[in-house]
Amino acid sequence: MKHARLKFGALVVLVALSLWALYPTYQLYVQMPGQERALKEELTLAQTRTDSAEVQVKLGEFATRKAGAHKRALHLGLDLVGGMHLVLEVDKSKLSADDARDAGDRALEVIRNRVDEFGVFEPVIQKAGRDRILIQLPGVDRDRAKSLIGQTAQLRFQLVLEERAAYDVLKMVDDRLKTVAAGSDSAAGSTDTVKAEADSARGLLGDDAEEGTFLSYIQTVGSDFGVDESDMPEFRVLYERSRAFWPEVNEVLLGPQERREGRTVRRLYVLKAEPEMLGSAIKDARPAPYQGGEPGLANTWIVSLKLGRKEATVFAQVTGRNVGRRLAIVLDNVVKSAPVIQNRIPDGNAMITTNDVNPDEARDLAIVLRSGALPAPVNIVEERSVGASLGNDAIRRGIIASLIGAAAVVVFMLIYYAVGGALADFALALNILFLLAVLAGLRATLTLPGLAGIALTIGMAVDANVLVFERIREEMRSGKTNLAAVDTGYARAFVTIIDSNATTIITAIALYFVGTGAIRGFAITLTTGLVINVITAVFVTRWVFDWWLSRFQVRKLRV
Amino acid sequence: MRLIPETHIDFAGRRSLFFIVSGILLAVSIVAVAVRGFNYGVDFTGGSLFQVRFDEPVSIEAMRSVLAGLGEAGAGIQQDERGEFLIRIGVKETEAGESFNARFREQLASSFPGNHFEIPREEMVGPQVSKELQGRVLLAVVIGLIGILLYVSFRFDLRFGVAAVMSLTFVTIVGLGFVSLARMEVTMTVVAALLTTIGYSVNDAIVVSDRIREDLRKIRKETFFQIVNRALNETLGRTVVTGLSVFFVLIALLLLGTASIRDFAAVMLVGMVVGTYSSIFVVANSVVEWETKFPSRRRH
Repeated sequence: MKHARLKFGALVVLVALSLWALYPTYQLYVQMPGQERALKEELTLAQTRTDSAEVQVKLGEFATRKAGAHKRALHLGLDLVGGMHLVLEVDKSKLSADDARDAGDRALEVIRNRVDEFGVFEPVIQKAGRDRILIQLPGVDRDRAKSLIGQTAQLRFQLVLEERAAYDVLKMVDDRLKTVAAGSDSAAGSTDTVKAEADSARGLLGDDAEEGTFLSYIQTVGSDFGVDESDMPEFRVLYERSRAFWPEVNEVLLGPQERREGRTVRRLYVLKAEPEMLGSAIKDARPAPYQGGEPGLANTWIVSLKLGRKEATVFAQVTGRNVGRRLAIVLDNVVKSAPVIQNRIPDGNAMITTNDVNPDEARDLAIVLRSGALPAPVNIVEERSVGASLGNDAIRRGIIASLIGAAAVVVFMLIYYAVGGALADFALALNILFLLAVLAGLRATLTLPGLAGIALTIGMAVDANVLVFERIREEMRSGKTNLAAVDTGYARAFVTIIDSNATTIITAIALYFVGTGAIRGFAITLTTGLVINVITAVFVTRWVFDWWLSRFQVRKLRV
Repeated sequence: MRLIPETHIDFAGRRSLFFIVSGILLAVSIVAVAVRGFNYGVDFTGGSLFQVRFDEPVSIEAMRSVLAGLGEAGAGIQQDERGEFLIRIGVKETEAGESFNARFREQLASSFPGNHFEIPREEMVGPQVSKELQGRVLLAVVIGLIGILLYVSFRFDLRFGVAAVMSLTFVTIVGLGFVSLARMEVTMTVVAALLTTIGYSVNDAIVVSDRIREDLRKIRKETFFQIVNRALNETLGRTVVTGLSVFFVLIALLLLGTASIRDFAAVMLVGMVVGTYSSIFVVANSVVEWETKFPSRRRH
């Protein structure tokens, strides 16, 4: 055989290159998940800020390594790893022509900012068409993603009513609800309001024992009012109905879900409806370690807040007038936090304490504050979330099924074509190796339809070998020598293989240019796979075949 | 080892029988699509889909009443063998859909207290997006077919190009008929399976065409009719072996895969059988028929 060494050398180099290209993929999906879990575990055990910081540093280093591996690894689509896929459309209907022109870009910028700061791993955020934004957040659950993106963010600062005043509002609302519910003769029940003299919220709530009323669902959560998550469905109905009875100057709003003493609760705040300040007042907000002298806060994180110059004057007045009261940070009608105003803040530099040794809460709050409001409202036009567990299940079962199917093919080829079968199996393995390596090199994303493309490629690879071997058998039947049969077999089958692969590639290319995301994945793996297929089936197996024939002086060829 | 001995089956001679078989398959599929239509997934209709998994079993009636309580009496509810629900609701305004989402979770929590549940998958597709998708899939298939027609007409001749496109159209229609008859949900996965089927059938059609072309050049003594028969018999070994290999993989996927993989494998399996059939009986016989009507060679 001509240039036997050269060809063999080329093959070895190709295999080595492919393995090298796939090593980061191996790291990312096989080695790293365990390491990451261990580090996260360590973080929850952190007792002090120093401990936490140490683990954070390790996590940071790990993230750098992971990002490095990720850059060169084969990506798995959201349908496989789980995560969130969103398509947003910028709603320009309420914007002036001038504002509308680059609304899409501004929305994109704000969303990108938020997502980046949230530390989502390798997010996809891009414009799709003129007014649409495509967002893919691998491994992020739905609620977190939506709180990050889905809303037309409206940030306001509103004063929280004191306990007593808040209770009066709630009680009044409760009475009005009861009146409406019971018709005209229910006014009697409301007279015992006066009896509520106790100062603590527990005492305030204690005397209303009636089942199923607005107030009966309200409990105390620390020093605030709150509602247990399990009561939410019933409470929500009454809450919506109660809106009509809120005093004009007040608003009743819920906080986010939080875990307290084994229960999930949401705080309930009564606020002054008129905002003291809007989100646009904020110039900057950053998480920072607490530096002050309060011993209870020594190890915790804070949000450091900077206001614009004009707003700083307003803020100085607001804080000066309300020292000791609480100022709620309200994002989209959810009270994110309600810090107490400790003293007058004259220079527009404020600080919000979090009482937490881990920086996550401070970081999230800082993002909320900084993003202020989205420049243009967005609507979600497409949303898909796949739980990571579902993705894993699909992967595991898919892989097992494919392996068993592939094993059946391997065995079948061995039995049917003997030595030729071994060769075909070898070609198949090479084919898959090369395909995955090229896909990793292209930074392609592997989705379920993508796997379908690979399945078709493998089918075509088997077929290419079958075409060759059947042809060689035919030629041998017609009385040709081994070498001549192999020669003609390959030559004849070559034409067929080229034609059948070329036509299939044509379909794949049409799919790529016309199709959307999922179909494109199919088209990419298929096109790549078929090109590789032609190379391995026509050239590589041929080299090996020739080498084998000459090396062992084969008399009787069994194909 | 050899499965297929040298055969001399008269494929082309019995083509009227196969035209009838093909016609019936085609008619059944078209009627199915026209009458039963498709069970479109949210990708194509727009709307929302939830997959709900409970710790303790919940009956489908209980789920229906929960949904009815939320004003979604018309929701599509499916329960699989593991007790997991797939729930589909129609298109909503974005805002209303959003609040439905929260209400649904809350209602589940209160209707089945103590029964922990999770929603591992939920999808929402707005009506604009789904309409675009329908059009694009169709366009992709049509452009692909035109591409194949051009390539095959150029590499072979027009007869083979037309035959290949007819075969693909046939396979696509029968595949769609199967999806409609099986009441399978038309998702992106099913579309991918149909596309794979088309790819596979192109391959089959070309292999057969290629052999006919080669034998036409090589063998001068036989009639066109005999040559087609010879080519089909010669490629039969390859057809069976390749078919079996793919068959093994698909059976494994069908038996061991998750729901969406099973759908994929089922469509592929039907597509593969029909594609193999079609490469022999639709492609070859169309070419023979064409040749009979418009003879291109001196002997016939």
